[in-house]
Amino acid sequence: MSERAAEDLMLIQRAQRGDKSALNELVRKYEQRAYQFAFRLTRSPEEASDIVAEAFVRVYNALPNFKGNSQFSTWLYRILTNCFLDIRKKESRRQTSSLESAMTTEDGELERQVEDETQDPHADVVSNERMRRVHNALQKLPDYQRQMIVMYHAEQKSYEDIAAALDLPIGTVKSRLNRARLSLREILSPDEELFRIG
Amino acid sequence: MLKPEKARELFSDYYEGRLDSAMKGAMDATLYADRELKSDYRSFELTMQALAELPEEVIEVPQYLSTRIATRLEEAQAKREQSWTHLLGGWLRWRNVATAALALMVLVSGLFSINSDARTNVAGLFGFDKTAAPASLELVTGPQGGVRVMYGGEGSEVRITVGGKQTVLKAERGRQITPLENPNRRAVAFLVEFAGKRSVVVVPGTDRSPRRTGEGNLVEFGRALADAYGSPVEIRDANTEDRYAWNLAQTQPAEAAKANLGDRLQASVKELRSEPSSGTLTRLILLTPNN
Repeated sequence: MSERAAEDLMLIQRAQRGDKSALNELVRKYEQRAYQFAFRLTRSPEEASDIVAEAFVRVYNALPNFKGNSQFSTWLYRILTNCFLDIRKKESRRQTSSLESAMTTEDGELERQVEDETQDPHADVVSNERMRRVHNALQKLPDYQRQMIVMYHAEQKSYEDIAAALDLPIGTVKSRLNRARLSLREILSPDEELFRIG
Repeated sequence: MLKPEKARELFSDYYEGRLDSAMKGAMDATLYADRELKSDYRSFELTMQALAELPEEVIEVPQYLSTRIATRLEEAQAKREQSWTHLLGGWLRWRNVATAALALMVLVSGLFSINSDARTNVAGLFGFDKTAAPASLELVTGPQGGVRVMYGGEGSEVRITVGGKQTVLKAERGRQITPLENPNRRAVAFLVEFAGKRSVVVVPGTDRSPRRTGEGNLVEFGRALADAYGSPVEIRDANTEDRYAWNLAQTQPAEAAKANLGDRLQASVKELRSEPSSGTLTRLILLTPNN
């Protein structure tokens, strides 16, 4: 067991005995990572914050039953994923947004007024736009595919970690991930030119 | 040769080098023979490259997160204590049928109250407006400072031109934010066009310039101002070709702008609010025609 996992287990055991400061410590330790994961799934600060808050409430309610068979972080990911899926189930009228965007390059009048720079702020704008479209495309994926992409690519979890967090066989994780990538490719294909730049 | 569908199932393994040599050979041959599949695989590679950038995203945690978690945990704790009080305390005290009936009512109302709270929380989760908003654009800052363009309104678009290159940002449902980043030492001007309106936003570079005098057009003046004081500058609805000579001897950028622009333009200080919400405020110097 890693040092971090052992420390978490001690905090959980203290929290199970009613030590509120131990629970607070767990919250402090994991709230940022939890938020980042939730935000990557939702792209909404408001929704991500609510998912994280709800997840910690579920942690609090389920603490007496936590046996330590899995690491706290794995358990938390599972709870966060369930909170996210529960919310999405209820959000039946959610609509997706248009991706019909194009990147154009042309000479603008500012060219005369702004000197060439050694570093290219335009590249930053393109890079940001590219990321924005990837995130928009992710929002169009079914929830179960999006969580695969987010966990593997953004959170950099291993197949084993994802399988443990989602309680799925590794083969299912791999095939879902491949399908998610293919779907993403399909959604992003109209923007392919933007992704060839740089 | 593999069937296209089978080959697509293997894209990830092929990309990540996890196929055995026989399967890799079959995949190589299939991609060589099938141009459409090869094109699909090329765009799959681009997707994978884009996904590789995902971990680099900086996600700012809202300041209210800790408070929200604490509030929800306190509510959960109070509910738990309350329900135990009702269940145990009430059951032991009430001894006759009439009071037992009352206990049942309290219990039911307690459960109802918990469910009501649950509904309220759920409503809170979905209470924010996700319907199409009218087209809008606003300059904001972020928790780490800087200048960001926040825009929204499905169907509208924002054009950002810098260094002669233009990027078209399509507004969608909800709000989008694009930071105007300048990694250079000197200030850079971004032309931001939206809904028929144009603004030049000058973002300071990493260094401050000791040079206080100069002459040039309005954009060059804006850059000199940003270089000297480190403040972003917005030039709105003004003729950027007008020429000025300047001496930035004042201690504050707004005073310097007022002193050097004469009557043609007015300079004011605009505080950019942070999005997402934080305590950060960025002061921008706004230059507009003096009507």
